Amino acid sequence: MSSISRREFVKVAASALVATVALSASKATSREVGGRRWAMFIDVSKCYGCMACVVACAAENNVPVGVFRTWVERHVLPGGGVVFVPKQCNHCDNPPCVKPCPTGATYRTADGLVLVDPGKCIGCGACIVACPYGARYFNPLTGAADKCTFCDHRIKLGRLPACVEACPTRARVFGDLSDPGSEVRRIVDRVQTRVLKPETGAEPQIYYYALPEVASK
Amino acid sequence: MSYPSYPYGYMYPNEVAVGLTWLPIIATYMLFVSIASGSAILLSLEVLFNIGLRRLTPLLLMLSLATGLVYLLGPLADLRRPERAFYILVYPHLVPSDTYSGVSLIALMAGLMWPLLVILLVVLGYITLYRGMWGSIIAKILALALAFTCILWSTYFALLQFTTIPLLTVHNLTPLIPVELLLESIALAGSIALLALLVHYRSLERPIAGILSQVILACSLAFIAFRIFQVFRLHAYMTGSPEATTFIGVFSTLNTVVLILAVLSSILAAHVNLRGSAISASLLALLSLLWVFVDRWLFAVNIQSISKTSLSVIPVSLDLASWALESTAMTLLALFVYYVLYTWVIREPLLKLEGSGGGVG
Repeated sequence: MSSISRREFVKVAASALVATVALSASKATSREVGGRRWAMFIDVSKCYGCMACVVACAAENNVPVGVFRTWVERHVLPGGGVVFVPKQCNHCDNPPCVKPCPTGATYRTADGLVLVDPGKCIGCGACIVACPYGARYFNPLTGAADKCTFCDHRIKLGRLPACVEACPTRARVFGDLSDPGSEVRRIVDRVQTRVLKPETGAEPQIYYYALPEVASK
Repeated sequence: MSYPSYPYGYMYPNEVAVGLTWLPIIATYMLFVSIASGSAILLSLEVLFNIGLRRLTPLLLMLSLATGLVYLLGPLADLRRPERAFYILVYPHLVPSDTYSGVSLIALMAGLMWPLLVILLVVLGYITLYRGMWGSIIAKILALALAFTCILWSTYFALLQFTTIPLLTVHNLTPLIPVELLLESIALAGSIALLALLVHYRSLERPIAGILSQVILACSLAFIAFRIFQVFRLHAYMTGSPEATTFIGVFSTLNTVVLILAVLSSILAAHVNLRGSAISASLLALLSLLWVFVDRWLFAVNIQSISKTSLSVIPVSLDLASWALESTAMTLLALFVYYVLYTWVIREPLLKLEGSGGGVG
């Protein structure tokens, strides 16, 4: 009796193991098939601070006055020159804002977007504190945390994010980093880029060209 | 229409808009956590090692329960959508996945640890005070579980800051901050328990007051040593960098106040130990409360006001009227719960302990 039940136990355990491995494998495969990785390249040398991206973003996403999904910083270089550095959510591969969220209102999609579900956000602010880039804010209209979405409602339709479309000098390039034929991938492969605050381990997905040290904080 | 301007140095525009993400009520909340966790640690130490605080255990249990039952009102007042607070229980972020990486400490604490703590406190209180099973193995296991959970609880905010605040200057200090929070919690709970003892017995019970004052003295001295070491470390390794200049600017003044209050508390604890006067015990409770509160304010408010660029301080306008009202409400509710527990739950076992002598044994 006991040997049969032991055999049965081994059978069940083995089936469970096989099922777990199969589930993990199918998950990995679907990720590879889904496998897009949205990213942005920003050429700081092309930005002249017209703020068209800021205005386009605010208009497209109904961003309240006083808070920003994207903004342009003006920095004075040691030699006296001026640079303009557009910044926004970096849609990190290892997003520090997702971890502390107590309800899972902040999450990362399979194609690498870091998004907020305003219906689940309780407004604790942990993600706002955790974001090293100051990209998040409390939306005064909803009370929920809010930030750049890479205009996911537009990119789903094959359009570009509003800020990219509005940029008159093509300082912003948006696309699928996992596609070797995409423009963003070709540029990132070709030129020397930098990311903001790599020391945080967030693995940001906005790649800067000609980013001065003074603006990298 | 006016546009946001940056007259204070390099910081992000959303920081100017949001100001303090966690409101000052968090300092009061952390104070309550310290009292609740410190009292429960002292209670579990008595059950585990019989350190001579048996007659104090009902008061410790009441202190821990009264503050531990109302302390979540602090973060509730801080939430921008408080009506959704129960989502922490409905959608707790406790299992990491590709979509939801990591584990949320807030969910862990509010959704899992807090109910566990209340259950442990109630069950331990019941089997020791009502059933008299002080030396039983069940009581010791429960006390051990309670001690571990409360040690984690007392250090919770430091762990939360360590896992959220992305400032390297804060991380440089962090390794010792959890230990300091634990020491402060035990010292503060000891001081408040001393005051409760004084109020209940109308005099300081000599052996208990002696043991408590020794615990307070040891904790406050250890705290002072750790904090001075951290300040030395900060100045020795980081002075000169713009990040450290910003950090020292918001840290030093209140930290000096904290150190002075901790020194005064340790002197008073020594005085209570030697002379056992009621005035010095009351003063000790007041000073410890002030010491721990100022330290909590330092970490909850001042450190939070450092910009994520580490190069400037966010100009914040504090709504002190709301903070004072909310803190007073929390304190009054805790006192009410203490009174209810005393009247309806604890009085009988307390009288039993007094009748039996209730000493070490």
